[in-house]
Amino acid sequence: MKRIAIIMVDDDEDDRMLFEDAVQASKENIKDTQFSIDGVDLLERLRGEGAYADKGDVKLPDLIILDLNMPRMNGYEVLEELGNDKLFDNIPVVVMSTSGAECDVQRCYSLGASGFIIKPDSYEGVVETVKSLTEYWSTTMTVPARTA
Amino acid sequence: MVVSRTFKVLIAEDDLEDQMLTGDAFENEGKITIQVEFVLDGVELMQRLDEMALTPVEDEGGLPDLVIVDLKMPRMGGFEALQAIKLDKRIRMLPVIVMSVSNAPENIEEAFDQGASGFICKPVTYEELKEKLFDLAHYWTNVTMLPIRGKVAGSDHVVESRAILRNLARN
Repeated sequence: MKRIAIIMVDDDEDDRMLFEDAVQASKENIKDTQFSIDGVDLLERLRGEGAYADKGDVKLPDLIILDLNMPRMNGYEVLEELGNDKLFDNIPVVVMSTSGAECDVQRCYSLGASGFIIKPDSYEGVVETVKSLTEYWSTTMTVPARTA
Repeated sequence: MVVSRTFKVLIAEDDLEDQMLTGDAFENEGKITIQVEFVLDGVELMQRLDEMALTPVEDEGGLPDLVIVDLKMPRMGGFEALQAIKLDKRIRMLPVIVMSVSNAPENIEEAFDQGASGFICKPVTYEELKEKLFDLAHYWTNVTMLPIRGKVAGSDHVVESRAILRNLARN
């Protein structure tokens, strides 16, 4: 088994904090966690542009956890951007959203998502979800190897 | 009331022994009803998906919840099938898991690059395979939403018991 590096993309600060706490409970599956505040921030981070221009080598994650509703570039647009970029189209992306409307779910899978999770409404729920999710992606699945 | 439904997996695998092991492992999952159907290669897979796309759900037809493709198959291999699925508007939302005995990095990258929702490196022993498939089934039935008809029974039961607890608390 291999511990994974993840990036969580969410514009809601509370959700990011909740997630960060939950990550602590899944340390055996996760080796590194980064946060992006929206789609624009994620792409700049991955491309080493904007605020990340002088931050040295870019570390590509093993998994991206992506919120759908964000002000600057929503989740669908991010999925499209990533899918159209040769450098990033092999990074698995799991969507996390407050609503699981069938059309939303289908649209995400059509755009290449590797999962669609409803945001749990309790702290215990988030811990449990992060655990299942990271265990699956670190143990059951084989993901592309990343340097660094 | 919760209507439980079957989790349908369509697997393209040309090796009959692997078919048997996979079918076995899924059937032993237990908690939910998993219906496994096999096809022998990519050509058969595309034909079957075409039939399913045209059959209404009420007639026991309808699309599967998950597609698993073996990488190496005669006539049409896993990557070709994956591409064909992702190009077909009617079925491109189906999650496709690529399975292979090889863990060659280029294959893993190619799979995700072509829109696969996962890559499983086939373990050598039956026990390990069983464990992987159990975890796979758990993820797709309990952790993540499915593109067709949302979720299967496993997760609904949780929702149902929560609702019951809430009612009890109220009374």
